[in-house]
Amino acid sequence: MTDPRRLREGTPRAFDRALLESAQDDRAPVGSEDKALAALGIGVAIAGAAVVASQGASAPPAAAAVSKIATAVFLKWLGVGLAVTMVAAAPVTYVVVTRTRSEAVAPAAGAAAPIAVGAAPVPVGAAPAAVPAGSVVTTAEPSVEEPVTLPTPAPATTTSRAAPATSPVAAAPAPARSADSLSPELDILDRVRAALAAHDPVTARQALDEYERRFPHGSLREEAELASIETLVASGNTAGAHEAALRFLAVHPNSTFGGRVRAIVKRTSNP
Amino acid sequence: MLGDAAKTFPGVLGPRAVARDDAARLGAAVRQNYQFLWRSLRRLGLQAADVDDAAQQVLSVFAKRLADVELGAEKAFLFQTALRVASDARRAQARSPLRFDEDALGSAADPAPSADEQIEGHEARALLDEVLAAMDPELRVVFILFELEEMTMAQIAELIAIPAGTVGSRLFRARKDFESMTARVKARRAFAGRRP
Repeated sequence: MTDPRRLREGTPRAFDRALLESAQDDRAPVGSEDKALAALGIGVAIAGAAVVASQGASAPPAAAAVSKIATAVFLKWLGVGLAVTMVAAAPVTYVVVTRTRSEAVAPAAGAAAPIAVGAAPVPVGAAPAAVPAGSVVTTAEPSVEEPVTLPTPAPATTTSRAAPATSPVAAAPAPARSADSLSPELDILDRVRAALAAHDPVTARQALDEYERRFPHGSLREEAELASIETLVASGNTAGAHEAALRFLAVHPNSTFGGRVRAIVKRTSNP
Repeated sequence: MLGDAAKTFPGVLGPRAVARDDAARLGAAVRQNYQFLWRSLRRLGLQAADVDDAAQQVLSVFAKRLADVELGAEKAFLFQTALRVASDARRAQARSPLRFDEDALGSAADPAPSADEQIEGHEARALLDEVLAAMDPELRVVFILFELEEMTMAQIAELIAIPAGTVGSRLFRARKDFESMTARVKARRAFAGRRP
């Protein structure tokens, strides 16, 4: 399968490229991963111990035995919500082991692995309440619908909407086509904006008239109407701007520009 | 899998073995996939400040369901769960698509609106959020994984369990959507900076 080039590399549009590149810096803050592990009861030392223990024969017997106890007891303690004080550090491991020897290890945390995430030492927003040790953890997540079936190569039900393309290669996008269709509209609105910036409402109005003629059902009508209102304001036609702004709000009650247009209504309603 | 075997034959593999095995597996899966999970949640519409909590929510589901997750399917499970968590979070935010924070936008563009093609990283990231939020969810997933995560189409097909051809057609439609929406955003941004 030949994949198309990434849009970031292939698009001629600097604006689009800038948006795509801005996501390159997305990364978890330092310490976030360790906090997540600690909240799961998998601190750095404990996780290491668990890994060592799981390697079985390759670990020195004594170390493996300690690791086993440390892990089992740590998980048990997590189950009863005492993990708060146990975060990651090696001395903590020592403390856990010590306690193991001074107390009898409680019989089995249960066959269901007591990974009691609810007992997280770090506050976890809407995370579920603590799960009693040894209980079978099947409580439904309050707001999260868990994936029930794991991904398999079988087609998901959602695929019916999107018929597979005959070939992924054939589906390789032709960048810019759809955006190009907006370009003529954008060009005119750019002229309107430039004219308004230059305090030239006459030229702005001429460009808007052209927009109206060429794109009576254009995709950027809201922008054009806003520009028209601003042109009225710029030309000193306060009453006209007020009326146009009210009309705009009636026609586009949920417009992105609602705040701006309401501000114009307010400003132009002053005597 | 060891966990299942232990449940079936508790005398053979005791609970401690189960716990040890699960803890190791959980730790390994988190280490391998945490950054991917974090980036995915961020790109699925959560603000950076909210992602840690959401990631924790995903991981807690993963930890509970560990025994049901096939070996090797950890990343897919985490991503599918992330989709649901992000979707819930978006519903909670109840934001309509393409609704700018006008004050932020205005202050970014005032007093001199920058040239259309010049855009600072911080503002660009905010606008990318807006565009992604306005995309059809199915298309957004493919777009994020291909264009931002830079996975191959075959990897995406496997991760979200759809045929490769569907990945291709969704990517095609997603790109069309992205381009028309960035054109809109660009136009709006140009006007948002103006104060008549």
